[in-house]
Formats: sequence, C-alpha cells, structure tokens
Amino acid sequence: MNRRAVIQGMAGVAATAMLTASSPAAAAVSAWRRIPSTNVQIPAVGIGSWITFNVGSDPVLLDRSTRVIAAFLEEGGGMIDSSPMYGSSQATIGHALEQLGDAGRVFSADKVWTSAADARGQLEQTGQRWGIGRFDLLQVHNLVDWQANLELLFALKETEQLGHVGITTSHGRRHGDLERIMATQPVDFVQLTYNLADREAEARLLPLAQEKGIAVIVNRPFRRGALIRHLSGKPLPAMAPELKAESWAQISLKFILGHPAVTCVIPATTRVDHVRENKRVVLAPMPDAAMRRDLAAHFADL
Amino acid sequence: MNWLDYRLHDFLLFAPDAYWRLFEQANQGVWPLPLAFPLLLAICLVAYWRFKRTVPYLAVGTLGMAWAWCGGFFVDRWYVQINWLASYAVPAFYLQALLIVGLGIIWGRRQELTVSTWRRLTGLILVLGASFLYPVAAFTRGQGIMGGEFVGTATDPTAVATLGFGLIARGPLAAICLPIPLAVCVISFLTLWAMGSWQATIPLAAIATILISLWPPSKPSIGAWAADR
Repeated sequence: MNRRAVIQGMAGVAATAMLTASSPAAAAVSAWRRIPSTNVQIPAVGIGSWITFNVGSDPVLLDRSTRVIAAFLEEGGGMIDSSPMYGSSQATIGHALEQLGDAGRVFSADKVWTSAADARGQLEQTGQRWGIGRFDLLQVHNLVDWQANLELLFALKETEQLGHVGITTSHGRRHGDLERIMATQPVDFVQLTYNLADREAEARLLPLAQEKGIAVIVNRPFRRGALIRHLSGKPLPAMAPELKAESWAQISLKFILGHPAVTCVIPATTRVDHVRENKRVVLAPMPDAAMRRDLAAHFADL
Repeated sequence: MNWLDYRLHDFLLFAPDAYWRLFEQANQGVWPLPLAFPLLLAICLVAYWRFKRTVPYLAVGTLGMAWAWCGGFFVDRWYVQINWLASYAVPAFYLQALLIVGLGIIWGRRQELTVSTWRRLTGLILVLGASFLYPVAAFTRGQGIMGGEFVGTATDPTAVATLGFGLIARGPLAAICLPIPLAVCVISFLTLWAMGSWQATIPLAAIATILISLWPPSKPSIGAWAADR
C-alpha cells in the first residue's frame, strides 16, 4: 500500500470521529481536507518546521523533535513542511522519520529556494536530508525565481517524480504577485500567512483559491507564538464552549480552519502536548462563517 | 523584495535553546581546551604588569589563535548548523587572526601599549570580563560551566576581549582590533535582542564602551587620561 492510499484510507476513520464530535450549531468541518486538483485527502492539521526543528546535531534536541513528530504521527500524521532555508530542519525531519520508521503517515512537503540553475541540486540534497525519494509536494519558496522553478516542478510532476506543485509566501508579502501566479499557473497548492491578526488573504487570495481549485496551506497561524502571547490572559470569546475550545491556540486554529478555502494549517512547535492539542482541534466543532466574523470582531476588540 | 517588510525577528533562524546548547556541545567535545584561552590571557595580564610598555607576543598569539579557533571550530563547525548565514562570517574570523598575529608579531617590537590610564583600565576590564565573567553567564541560563561562552570558543567573548586589547594597544595594532570585533558585537547584539536575551546588553555595553573611550579623540576634561596623552 503506498503512502497516498494510506492517507486516503485513513480519511474514513477520521471522518467518523468527526461526525461524533460535530455540533449542529457549528459548521461541519472534517478533520481531513481534499486537495482539489487530485482529490487526495490529507489531515487538516499538519506541522511546520521553521525554527523549531532547526537544532543542528544536538542529540537532546533531536530526540525532542523526534518525540514531537512521533506524537504528530500518533495523532494521524499529515503534512510536514520544511525548506532548505530552515537550517537543519530537513535533516531533523529525516532523522525522526528514520528513527520512527513511519513515513507512510507523512505528506511530505518541502520547497525549492534557489535560482533555477541550482534547483535540481538543491532538490536532490533535500531528498537526501529527508531520506525519501519522492515528495508529495514541492513548492517555490517565497516566489524565488518562480517562473523557471515552477517549470521544473511541473516537469517533475508530469513524470510522476512529484505529487503536487505549490508556491509560497509568508508575512503577507507579495500578495499581488501571488495572485497573478494563482490566476495563471496550474499550481496545486498555495501557502500563505493567515490568522486572526493577518487577514489580508481573505480579500482576494482565499476566494481565488476556491475559484481556481487550489489547495491552501496556512503558515504562521500563531505568528510564531506572538499571537498567543498577546492573547494570553484575555477572555475567550463567548462561543468557546460551543466550539469546545479551551485556549486561544484552539480558537486561532479553528478560526483558520473554519475558512472553506483552507486545506491545511501547519503550526510549528517543540512540544508534544501542543502537537496533540493542535491535532485534536479538528475533532471538535468548527466555526461557521457567522461565528468566524464574531471571532474576528472579538479579537479586534481586545 | 521590499526589505522594509522584514523585522529583526524574521532573520532569526533558530530558537534560544538551540543556540545556547551549541556552547555546551562545542565545549564538551574539546574540554578542557576552552579554558586555555582565558588562562593564556590571564598570563598575558601578568606579563603586562611586568613589561608594561610593549605589546606582549603571547597576547597577540593568544588572540590570533582565539580568532582562528573560534572561526574554524565554533562558527564553521557548530554555529552554521543552525545559522547558515554564519558561514559568510568565517573568513572574517581568519582575517582577524591574521591581522592580529601579523601586526603583533611583525611590528610588535615597535608597538607600544597605550599610555592612557583611562583606556588601559577600560581595556583591562573588557579583557577580564570577557575571559572570566562571560562563561559564568551560563549559570543564569540554567546551564553549568560547560555551557559557558569562552574566549576562543565563542564569538562574543572573543570579540569583547579583542576590543579590550585594542584599547590597551596603540597605533595600527589597536586599529585592527576594532572593526571586525565591533561588527561581531553589533551582529551579536541584534541576534540576542531578537532572541529576547538579557545578554544582548553585553555586546551593546562593549560597543558603547569603545565609542566612549575613542570619542572624542582628545578628552582634556578627564585629567589622568589627558595627562597621559
């Protein structure tokens, strides 16, 4: 059984769990999401690796990262996202997957972050660090040399050396360029920043993704923790019990995943308890459009 | 790319625990070698009191080796693991080593130490602080002495000790002890500031000390300092 079949097969189990947890007052949102271009199902909560998995060869921190990835896989696995820009994060993921021997639950996502002339060499190195031969998703990182790099990735996908092609940005940068690429290029995924505080994507990018059938990965859901620190001690919105949310982290993830255009969110963490908390967010009710508007208003009033 | 969109935090590639643990790992691998550079600098201070008016070869040799070892061992072997930007700094460490050793050894006999009491005292404080107080800061992070930053195996105390030496020396040797160590202190301050560490104040204080000590070029109002000049 190949990885894609495993991920698709697991969708039914998770969907059942979701049905028992859904509430009639909230939107029925599955723990799994469909990639529009290929119909592959992936878990809605993945994991990012920016900073958190950049631990070098430190055996203590490598063990900690392995425990985080083990918990992630125990909770259903899904997208692990990295980049050559993230220091030793790729090697840390490769170390963990080798230790755990459980890459089947992983939807492997990485990026190309160099000029097109060096892209093939970088992709080869990326594969070696992960310890895998074929990625489920490769993205052009921060639009670097995007025309030539997208051409390369499309060619790899055409020859089935790659599952999906995407393009990324973060911090709300270059949304105009991203919109043009989404409108003109047959990308499977777009990755962008979207959270309670950074909502620019709602205006054009998220609707465009829905219209064009592009899966959306949301990075920086907590603004690298700053959002949660800002909200710490502030009252949860009145709808929190209805959403079975007990923390601002859960509220933040539900706000993101409640948007119908969002396919996957990739919070990064160094803590096993946070991984489990993040993964279980989708087993409780999600906010519908009206509730999301109220959440945004509540956040703005804080 | 609009660089105005970026904030200092966006350039920080690693978490504080990964950074601080680097020193522990680096020190463990070569222990007790990290103690060598501070001890050699202590011997230099003794030599300084004995031969007050000329540059001790041992001091330039120690500092030169410290920069070469810091660049080749700590930066290129350990720090680059979590900060690929650091690889661009390695040549600067080798260059600093060559400059100190080159000027110190070749022109050492012609190089006198400063006669300024102010600069001499400030320089000594910087060298002593970098050698013996910097490692102790590890205890404030919950690490033992093995996690300490030592001259020669960590960038910041190496830079601060060199700045101190630059104040004690004079002429070309003093001049080449300032630019690269000051740059290291600026980068270190920004890094530690982005990490939210109180230790950001140390390189900042070193920079401020150097600027105050060197500017204005003459300080007639400071009696002893002016008299020495």
